[in-house]
Amino acid sequence: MWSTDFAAALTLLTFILMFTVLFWDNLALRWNSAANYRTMQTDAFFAGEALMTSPGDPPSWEMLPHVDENVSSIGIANGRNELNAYKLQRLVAENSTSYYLVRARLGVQRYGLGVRITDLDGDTLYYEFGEQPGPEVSVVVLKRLGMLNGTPVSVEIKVWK
Amino acid sequence: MKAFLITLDAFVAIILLFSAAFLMYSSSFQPYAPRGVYLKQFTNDMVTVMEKNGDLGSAIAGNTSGMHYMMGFTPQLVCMQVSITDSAGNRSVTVAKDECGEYGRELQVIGRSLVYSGQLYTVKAEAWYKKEQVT
Repeated sequence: MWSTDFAAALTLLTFILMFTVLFWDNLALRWNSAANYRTMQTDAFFAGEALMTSPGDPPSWEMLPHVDENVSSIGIANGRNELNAYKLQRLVAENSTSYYLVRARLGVQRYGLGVRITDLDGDTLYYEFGEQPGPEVSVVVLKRLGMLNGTPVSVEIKVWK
Repeated sequence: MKAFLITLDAFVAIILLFSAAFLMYSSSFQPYAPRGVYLKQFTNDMVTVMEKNGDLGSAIAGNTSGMHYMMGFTPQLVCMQVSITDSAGNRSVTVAKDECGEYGRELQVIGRSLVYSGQLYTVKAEAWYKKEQVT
């Protein structure tokens, strides 16, 4: 009788322990994933702010022959939310060669980056930089507003992993 | 009898354990994100664009259509209200986004000054997430 009780208790205990380990492992994965998403979101916020409120460093980086290590930060604004068309044109022109550098200067080198400047309705695309995420990735999408050549525009910033 | 009672105890404990685990696992689990940072950034964007586009000045002059138009481009879950007060403290204009009720989650408030026709005004913008949005 004692050994039957013992066997039953041992079986139950083993089952409960296995379940607990698997459950916490799964929960830890979800928490980790949530923390990673939160970090990505925070990085996206700061990248968006840098783009929308600063001219970059050097302030006339768009006039340099090459966008390389001499550019320590990237911005597309003359003043707060006032977008500079020349900076945008240069950013688009450098898309194939400086994509990694621009991401690094915006602090999102660990992620993919896509920036689209459209009219407020999103119907007309003015400028597009970076790439677009696939359907299977975790994406942070930010909508910001700015002025381009005296007209309000929408700036959509996507950061993903 | 003793063995039966122990087994019943264990059975009840296992049921409780499974129930608790199931509730924890199936509950909506969304990461907390510093959404207030984005809300503040977007509110600043909105007021800046309204100012540079001349919508705030037009509103002081009596035409609030530009402000209403811009309010339509806030994200769906964001509510916003912009008030303009003159230097005497009299509220000149208040424009709020349609279909927004009382204050919801993560209220953000920004203020800035504006000079229009030689008069000093204060612009106060309040933004919040709609209540039905759960983080």
